Parts: sequence; C-alpha cells; structure tokens
Amino acid sequence: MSSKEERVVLGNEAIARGIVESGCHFFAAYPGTPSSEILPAIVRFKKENNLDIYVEWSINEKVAFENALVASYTGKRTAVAMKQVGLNVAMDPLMSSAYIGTVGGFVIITCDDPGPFSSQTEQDTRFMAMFAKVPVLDPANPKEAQKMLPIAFELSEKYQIPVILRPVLRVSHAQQTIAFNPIAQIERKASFEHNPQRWSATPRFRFILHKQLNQKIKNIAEAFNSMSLLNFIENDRDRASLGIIASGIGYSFARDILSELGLQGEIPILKIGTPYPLPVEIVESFIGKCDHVLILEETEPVIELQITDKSKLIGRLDGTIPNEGEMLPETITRVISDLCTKFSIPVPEVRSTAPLEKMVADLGLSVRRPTLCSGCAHRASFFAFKRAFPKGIFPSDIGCYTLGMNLESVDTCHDMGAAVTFASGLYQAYHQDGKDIPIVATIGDSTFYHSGAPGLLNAVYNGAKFILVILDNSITAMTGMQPTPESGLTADGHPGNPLSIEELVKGCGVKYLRVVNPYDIKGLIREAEKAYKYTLQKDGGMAVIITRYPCVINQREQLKVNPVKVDIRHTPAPEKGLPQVKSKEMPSSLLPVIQEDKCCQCDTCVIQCPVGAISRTGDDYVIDYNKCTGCRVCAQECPTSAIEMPAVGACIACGYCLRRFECPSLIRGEDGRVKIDRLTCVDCGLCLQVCGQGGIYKVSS
Amino acid sequence: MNSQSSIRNPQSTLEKMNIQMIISGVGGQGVLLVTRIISDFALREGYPLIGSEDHGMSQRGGSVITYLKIGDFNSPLVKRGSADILLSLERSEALKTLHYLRPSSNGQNGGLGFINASDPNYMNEPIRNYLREKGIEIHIFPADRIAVEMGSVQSTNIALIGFASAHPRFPFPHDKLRQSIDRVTPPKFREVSLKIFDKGFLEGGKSMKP
Repeated sequence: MSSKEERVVLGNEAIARGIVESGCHFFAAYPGTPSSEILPAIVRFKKENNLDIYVEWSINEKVAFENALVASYTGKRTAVAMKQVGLNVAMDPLMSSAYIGTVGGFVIITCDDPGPFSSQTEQDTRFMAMFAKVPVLDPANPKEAQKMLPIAFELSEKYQIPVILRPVLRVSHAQQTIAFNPIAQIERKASFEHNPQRWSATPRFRFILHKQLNQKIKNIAEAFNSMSLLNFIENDRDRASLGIIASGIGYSFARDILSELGLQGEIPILKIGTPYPLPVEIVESFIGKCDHVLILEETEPVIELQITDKSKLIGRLDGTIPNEGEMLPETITRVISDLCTKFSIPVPEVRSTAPLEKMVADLGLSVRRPTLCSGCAHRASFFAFKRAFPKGIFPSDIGCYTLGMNLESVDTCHDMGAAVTFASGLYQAYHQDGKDIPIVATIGDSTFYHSGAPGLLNAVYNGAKFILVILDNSITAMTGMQPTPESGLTADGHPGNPLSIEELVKGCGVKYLRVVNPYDIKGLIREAEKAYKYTLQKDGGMAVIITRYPCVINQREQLKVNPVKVDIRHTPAPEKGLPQVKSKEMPSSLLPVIQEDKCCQCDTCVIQCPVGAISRTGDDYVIDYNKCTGCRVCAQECPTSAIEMPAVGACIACGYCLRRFECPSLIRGEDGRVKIDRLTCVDCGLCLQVCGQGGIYKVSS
Repeated sequence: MNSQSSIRNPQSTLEKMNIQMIISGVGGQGVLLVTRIISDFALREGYPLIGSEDHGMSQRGGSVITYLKIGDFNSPLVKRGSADILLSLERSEALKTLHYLRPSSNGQNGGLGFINASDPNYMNEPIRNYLREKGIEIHIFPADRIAVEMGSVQSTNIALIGFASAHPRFPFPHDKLRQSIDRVTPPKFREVSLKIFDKGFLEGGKSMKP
C-alpha cells in the first residue's frame, strides 16, 4: 500500500498538480469554462509548498500565451491554460511558436467542451495541434492528466517545441482520487540568448524553420511508437475479430463498458495518448491483427483521418459514432453491443430505460433554463434598456450577462468582444441607408478588457454612433470570481496596479461617458434616453454608459447592509380560475386609455397585447374593450407611457414581472398567483420598480 | 478544491466496493456538498473514486447532476440504468434522473432512490408500478421540512443523506458518513449539520424498517 498523500481532486486540480510537480516556473491563464480552476489550484499549491512560481491572470489568451512562451525562451519551464475557444484568440502566437520553438519546456493546456456545455463551438483542439504542427497529449482522466504533464515538459525541452495537453470537460471537471508526487525543484535563472535569426526570423529563415519543424514532428511520431506509458495495447493477441483504438476520454468509456459487458478479456484496446503526431507503426500493426477496428475519440475523427487504409475502420467517418455532441456511455455501449452481435461475439443484452424515460417525458416537466441570479444588477440593466428601446438591437457578449437573452435584451452573442464590433457594423449597415436605430451593445468588464477595447477604438475612429453599456460587476463572475484588472489584485492575491475602465474608455476617444448605478432603474432609463439623443446629434458620437454594481454572489454582505423586504398584495381571492380582472367587470375608470399626444406610433402595444385587443388604422390606435382583460401589459410595455391605466394597487397575476424581469425569486404558484420565493430572494428590492400595478410593495421594517 | 487529504486507512475492513451513484437537484441546493461528503468517505476508507460535476452555466439555477463511482472505474459518467443509488434534492429533478437507477431482472434488489419531497405519493401510478416491477426501490422524505424545522434550510442535503443511511442496503455506513460530515462541513454549520443528519437517520429508521 502506498504511503503517498492521496486526495480527491477535480481534473483541473490534478492538472495544476502535474504542472507544479514538473517544476514549472511560470504560469499564465485567462479564465474560461472548463479550464478556470487550474490557476487557482496552482496558487494553492504554491502557497502550501512555498514554491517560487510566477502566476498571472492575463488580460486575454493571446497575452497569456505570449507571456508564457517568451518566458520559456529564457530557459524556464512555463505553461499557459485556456478553454478551447481561447486558443482561437491565441492562434496567432501558437502558429508561429511551432516554427520558432522553445528553450525551457512550454506546455499549453487547452480544455475542450464537447456537448457543448459552456461554449460557442465543439471544436477539437487536437485539430489545432495538427494544424500548427505541435504534439498533443489526450488524457483519459485526471490521474493520467497529472501523469502526462512531466512527460509534456520533457518532450517540449527535448524537441524544443510547444506541447499541447488537451483535456475534455469530462476530464477537467471529473473528480478522482490521485496520489501526490514530489514536486520537482528545477533551478533555472532567466537567460535570454540573443539570436535574431531565430527569435525574429525573416521569411527566408521561416522556410528553414518549417523544414526543421517537419523533421521534429517526424522524429516525435517515431519516438511515440515506443513510449508505452502513453501508447499501449491491453489484451493484446495475434488475432481479434474486433479491436478498439481509443484516445482520451474514449479510452475511459471503453474500459468501463467492456468490463460491464464482461468483454474485457475479449476485445483488445490500443490506447492512444498522442493523437498527433500519430504513432503510425503501432497503430498499423494493431489494425493488422484485427478484422475490424472501432475508433473512440472525442470530438472529431483526428486519429481516423490520419490512418491511410480505412477499410477496417468503424467510427465517425462512417457515421457509427455521432459527429456532433458529447460521446456518451449509452451510445458507445449500444455501438459495441451491436458490433459484437454483428461479429458473433457473445454479449449480454443491454437493458433499455426507454419506457421509464417516456413515462417521465409525458409528464411535460419544465426544463430549468439557467438564469441571472436573484438580485443581479445585470437584470436591472437589461430591464431598463429594453424598456427604453423596445425596438432596439442588442448585441451582447460572453459572460453571465448572455442570460439577458431571457429578458429579450440580448440579440447576438458571438465571441469575446463581438458586442462592440457587431454594434458598430450594424450601425454602419443601417447608417449607409440613412437609417439610425437604437443599438445598445452590452459587454462585461472582464470581456471589455479582454477584447472589447479594440472594437471601441475602431468604432470611434470610423465614426460609429451607438450606446455601449459596460456591465461592471467588478469580477469575472461566470467562471468563478476571478479578479479583473480594476480590482488591482493579481492572481495570487498580491496587489498589482488597479486599472480604471473610465480612463480606458476616455483613452479610446469617447467623449460621452456616464457611470450609473443600475439599481436605480428609472434613473438608468433616463440616462439611456439621454445617451441615445447624444448619438443622434450632429456633433454626437459614441455614448458609453458604465452600469456599476458589484456581483451579488461575490458581495452578498453588501446587500445585507440595507435589505429591502418586499411582499405582494393580491386582488381578492378569485372564485375560480386565475385572479385576473375582466374589463367587463371593471369600472370604466380603470380601463386603459391611449394618450395620442404621447404616442410614438411604435406598435409595441399592438404586438405585446396578449389577447390582440389593440389594433392600428393609419395613425390611430383602437382598444377593443370587449377583448381587453385589463392585464396592463400595454401600459407597462409602452416606451413613452402613452397608455394610461390607474394602478389597481394589487397583483392581478398579469405575469409582466415574470416575463420581463425574470427573477428566479418571483414564481407563479399553483393557484396562478405570483409569489416571492423566500428561499432565494436576496431582498434587493429591484422588483418594486418593475410592477406597474403597485402589486409589489415594500414591507416596513 | 476539496480540502480533503488523507493517508489511506490501512485498517479498512470493508469489503470491495463497486458503487455507482447519481446526485441530482437544482443549482444552489448543495449537490456539491453531498459529493464532497461521499468523496471524503471514499478517500478515508481507501476506495478509489471518480465522478463528474457541473460547473459554469449550469450553476446558474439550472438542473445539476453529479455522477459518482466508487471502486474500479475509469470514466466519470454513470450510464442510464446503472446507478445503485440516486439521491435527489428536488422532486422534478428526481423524476428526470430516475432512469439512471439500475433495473433488476428478477424484480428484487434494483437501484435505490432517496428523494426530498413533501408528498410521498407525488409520482403517478404507472411510474410507481414500473419501478416496483423492475425492483427499483424509492423512498420519499420531506428532508427540507426537517432541515427548516431544525433551523438550517441549507442542510436539506444532510437530512436526506441521514435518512438514506438508515436503509440496510445503503452502502455507506452511518457512522463513517457522520465522521465525513464532521470533517467536510464548515465549522459554522457543523453542529447543526450533525443534528440534522441524526434526525434524518432516526426518521429513516422509522419509515424503512427492514
């Protein structure tokens, strides 16, 4: 029995452990699910073991990559971590670094997100490695990821080439018992050797470097054939009717499924830890011994495509394994079981769970969609801007606030920073036709630093005029509360230099800047209208509003200082059905009336009326009081408050707050009434400003 | 990070363990704490563990599901129809994850489910019949009510494990889990957590007489 310390850790913590055990000196990262937990774990190991390792949260992935890469030129061991789409941002330095190479070991950890669960694509980083011509290791579980890291650093140093470790989400966010190995102490003092022919190679030298790179990759592929720690065969035999080639998580699934089906002694597995460059020799010799070969790899057919003779292969290219979505044990079990039946290998019947699933599906249980937290200031901002510009276009960005979609205040979410560039492109496209419409871009503080600022510079330079809202909660919330440059705190908690978004915005050439507390919804709506007017002025330009309020999850205590307890006053209990007022039963003084002088003829009321009681003929709007249910939606949606309707002073279950404000603490009870979920309500009091009926009121303390 | 660390307990006398488990609920209900308690138990007893957690987008109020496998396993996911144990903190999420429980061929000793819900008969007749036929045993317990009554609504998860640990086929011994709760819960909640755990166990003993 081993006497090493054991812990149950997250895959990303196992990766962090592997990095420190390799004697890494320098680590940089930008947060992104599923990679975000690596850096905090490195900081913990650093503190626990008093290690001299430089750690930084960088501004974006390209910056992180270049910082770590050049540190490796000084001879140090360095690493960088990001999510798979982060590598797109760092693709420029990656491509070049393959040619230039490294001095100290340089390892890139890129976490893929098949599914996808928290990403815009399911891209397979192993393809990026192949494209850039750098080796990639594909760990099967946290334990193997930890084990692969020292190998990755050694490879990188031996061949002077960057090496990628590609865990998928099911490795990064798996948890597993691992043993802690001793931490290597590798003494390396920074020593940059001047060599312009290499470090700033001109195209002529790049050609030579490319040739050297091709030779390196050839040599590495050769070496991989004999690295049995990474590539090995289980249940090897001279002949098999079915064999499996499995890489990464595919291997873990194959192992568990074969043992569950009692086939672990029947079907040989070639485990591939190095999908690129492929150790062709052992792959071909394995295929030679099998009649058929199933290939299990996540997410694209990277190994499959590298095998020249595909006649025996079963996998993604022939559609046996689905070409999109996460590879699931249910699918692989069915595939293996079907193949066994086909090739006369005895296999137990797989019990179906379909009847039960069908019975549950028939219940029509609602799917719980993710939502902004109770008390989140982003909700207030989104509510205010939609209210101010019901017909505006709302480009947004990547972060918690993408969930503004639920409030119909997010029209686009493309990639980091695209809120700003999409807004300026939209402005120019409309402006070209002589049309100016309200365009409100929303971006978080961290995303603005990441890649929003260049888009803003471009917008100002090219004369775009729209409203840019920087939703400043002073933290990178979605990925787990990493500090932003504004806080001035660095990755390991030491003080750095706090940056100011205001100064950055002004530095981009913006003349109109307002900082607003989004908790004042009415004030924010006024500011939004003023900002729009500025963009329309002849001498106007870009208008930037910073809505600043700390993340409620991160700073719960702040809210507790001044809690606003609210309650809902209901109309008298209904005799039957929903407590909804029927216009026919209402005194005429309570019916909605359109004030023509205030009406901006935007048709919002016509579109929003749930029963189609409002129609438009020419410039006139008519309300059909026989249809009107008195629900108040028109009065609440009208952007110019042109529909007058005295408040009932009680909740009539119109559902406006549920639909437009979408707070998880406002729920519809089984009797149809709106209730406050006391378990989740954080007493922010924001909903007081939302109900136009006066149904939500403040409880006096 | 789990702050759990341990040198394996060489005195462990428990039999070899191969358990697959699902914990389901809604973001914020403390699914991860349950995971941490079971992980601590496995670590102390020297059983290898692998599992999977939800992070990121799914933590924002969405459905949360954790997979745990204790014993000789390589992959972190539990296949449908393979779980020995289901612990569910929410009634709808329980229904959505029922199909993970292992059906048996002879109608006996299938998967075991423990669900936090106030109405013991909230599942419809056809579902109950189906489960019975497949030997899947479901126990419904108002863990949240017990937790609220004892002054810590956050400890619904602890009440449910306490309840489950009274079942003779529940694979983790009550006293060992109690030690893990003692180690894993933050000091502020420790005392109340243990009380709630014991209360759950007591209620479980009453309603699940062997």
